[in-house]
Amino acid sequence: MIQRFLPGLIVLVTGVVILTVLIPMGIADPGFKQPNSLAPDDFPRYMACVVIALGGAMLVMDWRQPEYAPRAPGPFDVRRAFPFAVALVGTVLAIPLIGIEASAFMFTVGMLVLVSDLGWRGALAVGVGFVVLIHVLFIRMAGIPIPSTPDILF
Amino acid sequence: MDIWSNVASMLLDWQVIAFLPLGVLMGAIIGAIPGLTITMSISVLLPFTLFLDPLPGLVLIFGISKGGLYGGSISAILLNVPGTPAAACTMLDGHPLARKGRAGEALDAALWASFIGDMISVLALILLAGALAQLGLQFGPVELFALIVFSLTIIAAISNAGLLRGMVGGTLGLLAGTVGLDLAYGSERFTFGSPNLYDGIAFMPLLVGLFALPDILLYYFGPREIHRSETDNQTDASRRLSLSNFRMILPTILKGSGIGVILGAIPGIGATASTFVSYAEAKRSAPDRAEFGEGALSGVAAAESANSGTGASTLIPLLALGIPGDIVGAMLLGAFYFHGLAPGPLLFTNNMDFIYALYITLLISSCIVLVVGMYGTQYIRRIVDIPRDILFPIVLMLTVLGSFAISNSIFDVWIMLIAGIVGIGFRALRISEAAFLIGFVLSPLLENNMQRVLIISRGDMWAFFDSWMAIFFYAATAIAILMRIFMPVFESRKARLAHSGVR
Repeated sequence: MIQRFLPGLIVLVTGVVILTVLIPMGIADPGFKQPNSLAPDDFPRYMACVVIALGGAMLVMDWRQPEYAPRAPGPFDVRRAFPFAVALVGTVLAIPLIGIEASAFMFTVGMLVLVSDLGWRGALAVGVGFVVLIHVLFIRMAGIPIPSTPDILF
Repeated sequence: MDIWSNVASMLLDWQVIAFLPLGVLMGAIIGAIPGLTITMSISVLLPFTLFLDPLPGLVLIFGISKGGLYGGSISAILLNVPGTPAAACTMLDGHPLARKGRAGEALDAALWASFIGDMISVLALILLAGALAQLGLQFGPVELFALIVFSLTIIAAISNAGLLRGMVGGTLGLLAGTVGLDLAYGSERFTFGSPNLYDGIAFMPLLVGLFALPDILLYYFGPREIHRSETDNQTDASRRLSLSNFRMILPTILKGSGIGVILGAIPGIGATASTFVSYAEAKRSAPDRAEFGEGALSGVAAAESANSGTGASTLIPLLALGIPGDIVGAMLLGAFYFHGLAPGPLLFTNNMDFIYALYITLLISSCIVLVVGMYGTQYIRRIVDIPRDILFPIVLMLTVLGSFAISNSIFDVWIMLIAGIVGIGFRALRISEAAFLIGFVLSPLLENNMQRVLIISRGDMWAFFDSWMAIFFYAATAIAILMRIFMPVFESRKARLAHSGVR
């Protein structure tokens, strides 16, 4: 029953938090205001009021039309989700230290070995091919300014 | 004469020549792979195009979009899995045809419908965008404000999430667009002291996070899916479309293309809705309407012509007025800004050579879709069955690489990851991500024009209604909202009456 009202409630609370906490704390006062113009916090405040009104309207609509209840985005398996999240965050943090090629290689091969049916050899082949593609296409040809493993190591 | 030599030099650039076919081919492959959407692939690849010159970068994106519109039909016909949401209608008749051993005919019907629909769409863009831009030159801040309100409301009203959730998405997008330095005073807004946010939330990481990440994160957060090959029941695709059957479906293709062009030019409607309208019309009027649902070539032709008919016509409001009509339009608007080009009436005054070059590449890419479809489909069908276990780690690394590369900052990667989590939240609460993105893109424009109207009119609120054009947009906005609210009521009442009549 409560789940039905969750989206409206979340939107309403979001609007209230923006209006009462984020706008007063997050918008610097310029110290003066030109007449007949919008102050820095005016537009966000109007929008926050609209969000609150829409949240209220959603509560009413969700009460009258239960088919709009929230849905679970999908099944959740903590044994898969946690190692994946750690691996992803670790890879992102490793990029400035060991470069994109080494980080991408470790992540790709790790995911392919642990999650797919490719096996070690297939995973290594895909990983090497992908890293070569990144290096040639994106770093050498397109000149994307990202930490590159050969530049860091040699 | 000078303008045409500029156009020729732009078109003869090796990057344009290379990326035109590459984009279409990539789009056709990506569109054909179930689980990889066009929006996902464009959002992953868009950051890399920013390192190219404007025309090659945009050509690559347009190619992916066009190839993807056709590619979606390959898996819909052969595998009974729509590669894109817009290909769902193609599947209704395409797969029954394939099961009857007429896959080749269905693929040909889809290909010719895509080609003709796309050509008509590009011609409509060429004929209408310039004229609309001329009209747009007369727009002042009042009209622009009303136009943005109209566009945002239409996008919210037509979104699958429903009017209210569409409006919530749009308003949250407008709020997210205020992060950074204030336009008039230079005050910090929601930056909390972080210099990374002075220019606002970076568009590309937000885009990648919202549209590419949720599918991948949800895949790894859930239990493992056992991959089943979809290509086991492949059917013979060697039989071609006969001339008499082509003549039979041609009127349906032309009608579907017209529907796609008209609906595609209205912000918010897009390809999926157009295909359903065209399919319903063909079901009523096509010569083989009795076979609909069991394998009618006109069904495939109607869906695909409308699908591709929206391709270039969605660019009409984007190029002429700077208003994105759909998610791809919003992505392109970001790409235009990044390249120092502002879509809108002034683009037609200051960068006419660029516009001509863009038109020509769009026409050429339509022909490339035809070539790829005629000679590449047999190869594409062999690679559409790549398991997500192999695909997703690679796509994920590309999203990280793209987000990092924009400003060489790990901060943008965190923005992308947070946006991915927000995207999952939006899906759970059924809030429209498309409306959010378009609100985010249009936020500075809306606030700036609101500010200008207030300053010029010295705070008089009636100034917002001081133009017939603005009143027209407000009236259209009100009608769109009222229709969205009352149409379901009328339809359910009509269904109830019909039901009681039957009893």
